Amino acid sequence: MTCFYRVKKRLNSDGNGDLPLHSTFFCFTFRLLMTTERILLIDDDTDDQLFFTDAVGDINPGIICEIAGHGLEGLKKLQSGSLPDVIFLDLNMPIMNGFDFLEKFRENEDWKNVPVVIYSTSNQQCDMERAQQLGAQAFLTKPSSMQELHSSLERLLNFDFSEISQQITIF
Amino acid sequence: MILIVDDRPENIFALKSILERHQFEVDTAESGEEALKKVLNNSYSLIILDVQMPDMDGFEVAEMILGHSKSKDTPIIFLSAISKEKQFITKGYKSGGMDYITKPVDPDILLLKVKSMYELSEQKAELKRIQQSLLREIETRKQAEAELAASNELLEQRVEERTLELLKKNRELELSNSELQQFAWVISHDLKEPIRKIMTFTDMVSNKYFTDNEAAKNDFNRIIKASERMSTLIRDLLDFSRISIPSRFEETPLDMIVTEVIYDVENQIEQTGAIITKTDLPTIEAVPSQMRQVFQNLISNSLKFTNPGVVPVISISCDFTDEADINAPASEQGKYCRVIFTDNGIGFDEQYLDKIFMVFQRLSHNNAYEGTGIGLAIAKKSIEKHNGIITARSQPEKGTTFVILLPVKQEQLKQEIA
Repeated sequence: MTCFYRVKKRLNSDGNGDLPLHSTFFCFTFRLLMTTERILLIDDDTDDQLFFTDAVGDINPGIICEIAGHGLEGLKKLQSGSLPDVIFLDLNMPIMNGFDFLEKFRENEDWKNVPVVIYSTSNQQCDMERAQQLGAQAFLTKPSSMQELHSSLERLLNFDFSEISQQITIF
Repeated sequence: MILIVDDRPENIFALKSILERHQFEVDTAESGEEALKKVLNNSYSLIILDVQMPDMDGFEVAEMILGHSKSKDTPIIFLSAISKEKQFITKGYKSGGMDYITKPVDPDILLLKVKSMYELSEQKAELKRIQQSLLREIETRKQAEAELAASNELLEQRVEERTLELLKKNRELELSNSELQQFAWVISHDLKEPIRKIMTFTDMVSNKYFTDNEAAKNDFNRIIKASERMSTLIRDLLDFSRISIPSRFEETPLDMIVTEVIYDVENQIEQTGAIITKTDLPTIEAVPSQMRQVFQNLISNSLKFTNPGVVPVISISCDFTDEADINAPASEQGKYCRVIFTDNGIGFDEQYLDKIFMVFQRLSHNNAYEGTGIGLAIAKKSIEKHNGIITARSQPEKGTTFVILLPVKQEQLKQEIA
């Protein structure tokens, strides 16, 4: 049995009186991100890149978003430039996928302190477990609304312990 | 016909008249030789044979008559003098067709003997006829048996052929089913992505470029709502197609799962003011994700199909039973866990009990209640995969009770089946 922590917060309902949305992601460990100035996004999907950078821009236009199209490109960027404060990592990518990236990533001592958040279409627990085993810190399933994405990112980037709403067990 | 054999014509005449007066047909012979000739050419019911004849001894004649197959069963009455008695006995003639009468012949006694011998002869003939017909019948019966055996064998052969055919068809169906499921999985999986993009981009455009345009935002919202319905349908289809994938049974604390599901719908609970109560649920061998799905479906349905103006009340309880029967009596150490799930919602007419568990079958016709109609089908498929049973009792507007029977241990069942 694996322990994940579910972070849940109610968003404000929109003017139409629809049911408020819940924004959820899973945290594997408590890793406080004090401030985020630089993000590396590793994702091959150009639409998702757009959504992501847009949402981050709304939260804090000062954050620098670097983009890599697959795992190998991600590794190269880490080797060449300055380290990001957090990496957002997709799983399904050509050339080198997210899991393979993680295997290579954790071999490097210099990168140990950079938290990795999985940013994937998957909602499957087996993927979450595998990501956790490979050293990821959190798992965010790509939502279908900008509101949800905004909310999740906001909290991930300024993680607040008090927001832990429940410890749940996933098999 | 009776044959009288005597060398003295006057004796023949006397016997003949007695017999003919009593309606017997009579033939005569005056010597052993003549008698034999006549026997060869005719069949007689009885021969009256004088023992004292010049050329041939009556016994010799009798021997020859009996030796001949055609006449071997003919009864013979010897006309003898008393002194010949002992000879008659010692010669030991076979088959009861022998008698004697002494000279001078008493007509009454003669008649008695003739009649009884005659009857005996007739009876023998009748017996023989019956025997023949019985033998014939046995033959036909034997033949019929043989034919039956042959057609039986043919039948068995056909049955074997059909069974092989059925097995083959079964394998083909299994293959095609598995292909269809893969197909459904791939389609659902690949349809999810574009829908997500549609929803997210629409949301983005709406909020980014039409922030103050309520009318536009409303229209965009409709796109999003329609896409959400599509997304839910695809998700349900995906879930349905996933259930058949082989998965491992493991220790599953139902209590924890139901608690989490309740927590997940916290929103809806608050909005509707619903009250959910549950007793402690046990740990059973199951596929956790599928159990979660089942309870998610049931709770979500109960929160959705509510009577307007009525606070939804859901209660979940359980006991154990020894048999795989919904109505079995409770038993503390039972092999099966029986979960009873009751709500006070709109209920349904029990004549549609089978329908509600079928894919895409929805009972409400006016679209007042949203849904894809797959939820219960998914629940049923999951429960059946766990070798369990699910059914429901209900009355329109009076709420519904779902009863689920699940084996506590899965391995044990496998052993029992083996």
